[in-house]
Amino acid sequence: MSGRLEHLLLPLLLLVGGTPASGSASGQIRFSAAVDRTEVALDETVTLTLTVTGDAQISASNIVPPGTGTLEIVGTSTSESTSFSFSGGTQQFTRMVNFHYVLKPTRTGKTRIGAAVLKLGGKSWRSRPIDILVVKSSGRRRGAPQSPLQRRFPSWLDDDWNDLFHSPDMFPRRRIGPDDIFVRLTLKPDLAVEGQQLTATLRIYSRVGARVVSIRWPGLNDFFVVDRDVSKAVTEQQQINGRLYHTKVIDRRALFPLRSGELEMGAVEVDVDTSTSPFYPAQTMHLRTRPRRLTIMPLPGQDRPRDFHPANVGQFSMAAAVDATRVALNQPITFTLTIRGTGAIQRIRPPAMPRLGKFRIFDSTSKVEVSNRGALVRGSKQVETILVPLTSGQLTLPALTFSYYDPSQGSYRTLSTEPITLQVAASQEGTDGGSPLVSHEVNLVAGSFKPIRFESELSVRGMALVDRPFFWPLVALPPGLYLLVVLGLALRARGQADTTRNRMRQAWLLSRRHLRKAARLAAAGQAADFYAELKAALVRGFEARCSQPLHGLPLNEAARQLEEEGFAEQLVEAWRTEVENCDFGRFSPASSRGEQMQQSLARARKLFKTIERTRPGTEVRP
Amino acid sequence: MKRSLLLALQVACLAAGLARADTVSSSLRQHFTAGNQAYLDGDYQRAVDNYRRLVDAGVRNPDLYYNLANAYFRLGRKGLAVLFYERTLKLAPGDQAAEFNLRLVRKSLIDKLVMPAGGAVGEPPWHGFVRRFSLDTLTWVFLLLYSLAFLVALWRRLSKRESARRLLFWLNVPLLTLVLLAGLLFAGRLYLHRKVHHAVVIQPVVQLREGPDRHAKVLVEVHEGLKVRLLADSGGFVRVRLSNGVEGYLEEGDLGRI
Repeated sequence: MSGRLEHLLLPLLLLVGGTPASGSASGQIRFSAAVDRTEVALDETVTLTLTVTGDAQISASNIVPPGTGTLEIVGTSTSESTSFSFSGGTQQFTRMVNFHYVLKPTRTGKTRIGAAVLKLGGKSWRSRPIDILVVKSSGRRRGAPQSPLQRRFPSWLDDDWNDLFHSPDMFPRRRIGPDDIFVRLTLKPDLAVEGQQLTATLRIYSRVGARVVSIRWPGLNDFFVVDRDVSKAVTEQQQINGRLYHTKVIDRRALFPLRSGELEMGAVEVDVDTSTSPFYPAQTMHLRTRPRRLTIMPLPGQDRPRDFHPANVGQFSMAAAVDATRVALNQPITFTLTIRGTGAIQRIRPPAMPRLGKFRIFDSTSKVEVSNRGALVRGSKQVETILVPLTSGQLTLPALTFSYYDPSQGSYRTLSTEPITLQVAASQEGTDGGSPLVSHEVNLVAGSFKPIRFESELSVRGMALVDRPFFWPLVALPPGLYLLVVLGLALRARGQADTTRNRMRQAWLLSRRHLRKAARLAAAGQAADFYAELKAALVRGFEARCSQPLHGLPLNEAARQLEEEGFAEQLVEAWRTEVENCDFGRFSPASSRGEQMQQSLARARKLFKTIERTRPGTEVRP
Repeated sequence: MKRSLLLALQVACLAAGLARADTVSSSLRQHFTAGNQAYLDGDYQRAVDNYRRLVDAGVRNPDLYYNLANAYFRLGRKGLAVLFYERTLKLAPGDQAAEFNLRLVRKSLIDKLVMPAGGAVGEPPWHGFVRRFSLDTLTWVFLLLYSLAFLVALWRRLSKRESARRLLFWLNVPLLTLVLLAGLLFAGRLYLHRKVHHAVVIQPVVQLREGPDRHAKVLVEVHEGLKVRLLADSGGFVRVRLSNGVEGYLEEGDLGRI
């Protein structure tokens, strides 16, 4: 009996634990402090338990918490037990209240939990201080005992419902009844007209640990529905029929009735996982709200504007703007109409742009922005229309009117924009110029496009340049040309270097040139010049086979040098004879006939042939 | 040296001559004139027929594409109009009239997913920047600067006076910087030309599917005029990416490649 009574009473006692303790201290009071450990790692917690035993009413307001040094209080909870006894026909009871403080170290080292003070009936009791050693994080985290708070809250409750269960060690295993947890749906306002927002708020009330699994709304075909965000809803406490419940909004919808009359709304069904104890598996409960019947009033027919649409119910403002008031002919402008306010923004019918003879009007596009925060649906609807002026001069966009029904005032209202004046210039960059009526392309009068092109070279742009076969050779051309020139320069410089090889090559070329010239002179019968050229050819020709120059040396010296270079004695003698013969011919040209010159030339050629195919040091007969 | 410079000049002229756009024959030109006249008469279908003959004959010309796009729009073929405006802009980036008309056409499209200037989702912004230049223009600019830099280098090599050599060296420093910049732009544009391809939906309504199969799940319906990026061909289907990053498969026949 006592256990059952305790189950019923304790939660209420704990939930009202914040109320001041009433009554005075009576009997003996014992007050003590204890910790579950005196050495704690940085990643662990230590639980300080202050125990008050006696027959007095004790609450948290009677306790002055101790100083905790470098320990930080991260959680508190309270537990209480009461025992009854009858002795000598007198009923006695003893109450033991435990105040738990979960402390988390902030730095290593020794620290001290100071003395806590219990104040009751003008007296006070002090607990003893406790020293705690805080060490670095250890590997014993998994094996370490959890704090009372952690033990009490199973992980499946670690969601936004945690705040409901911060004192639930009073929830031992027991049967959960319909009074322990239920849901309610509220609809505001009670009376609405067609198109007016009704806010349906679904709220859960619970005295046990619970987590919402799913919410199923009935068919809402008679309503335009807009979901509202309740993620920021907080848990509150509420007393119903003398019982304290934790309550929270779990869903909210804005309902806009699409017709008037009696509208049925079925039950909202909610599945909830509940638990009374972390040591028992969760229990799924199926909760329902009661069905509702709503009376929706029709919109008043009196004073209804002609342009009113039943979707336009709420409170609105309207604004119109254009992106430019000075434009060129055929230049498009954007007319933007914005309606803001509260109501079914998505459904409202903004005024349409009337037919304007001086404009070409393109299809409008609309953009809706609605905030999902708060109970009321707020937002804006923006309609953009592209207009293209077809004539120049001063044009006016007419005022637009928007009528709506304001439920808060119970009357219709009409909003109106200001007319917008546009200055349209006659010429337009990029067009043929002037008015389209005098333009070459008369068909553009009815349109807004840039005209087609009549003049075109109509050149065939074949494949792109990079895709043509000559492109990469073209890319390679500049560096190739550069390399060729550099290479040519290098070769040329090499050829011009003063080396024996170059000198011999130059001498050989020179000798051939002299020989050709001598042949021409022989044919012309110019003996003196012929022999001079022939001698030069003979000297240069043999010089080309020597390492040292012969030019300028006396004949004997030159012959000796040739012998030293390894030319055969017989060949050197033949060369010397021919050179002497040339000297003779040069100085007595009159004695030389054409036939002799030809013979000299033939002998010289024979000598050249001999030295062409022989190397110095080889015996060759001339 | 002069001979080398002359030779280089001749080669450049030859290349320019090779790259010079050919003009169409007079018979083909008549189709262009006839198309224009039909357009003026309001016979847009006949205008399209004439312009298409030129296109089918291999004429790739921005004026032709532009006129054809106008004619398609008059016929209500917005997808094809967008396609040919895009082709116009591909050949002549920055063509103001084509940009203007394309903007107007896009305002009347159902799908408002316009490929932003900086490229679609996941595409780096430099794509949009580089696309403002035509590939041929960038190619010529790069080639000219590049050739000029080599010519200056060659001139410096051949020059015997130290002062002239120094002057040519300092002349070539900014020139080589320009060559580097032009080369980067050219390389980027070449990359887009070779690797990044776009197309336009030319059928009124087509289904973007999860796979290259007509029975594959439909991800979303897209409408004519929508520009998409081509990712890969897959047996009659093309994997595409919309400008909002959504990828899927469209039938090849529903698309017109830009």
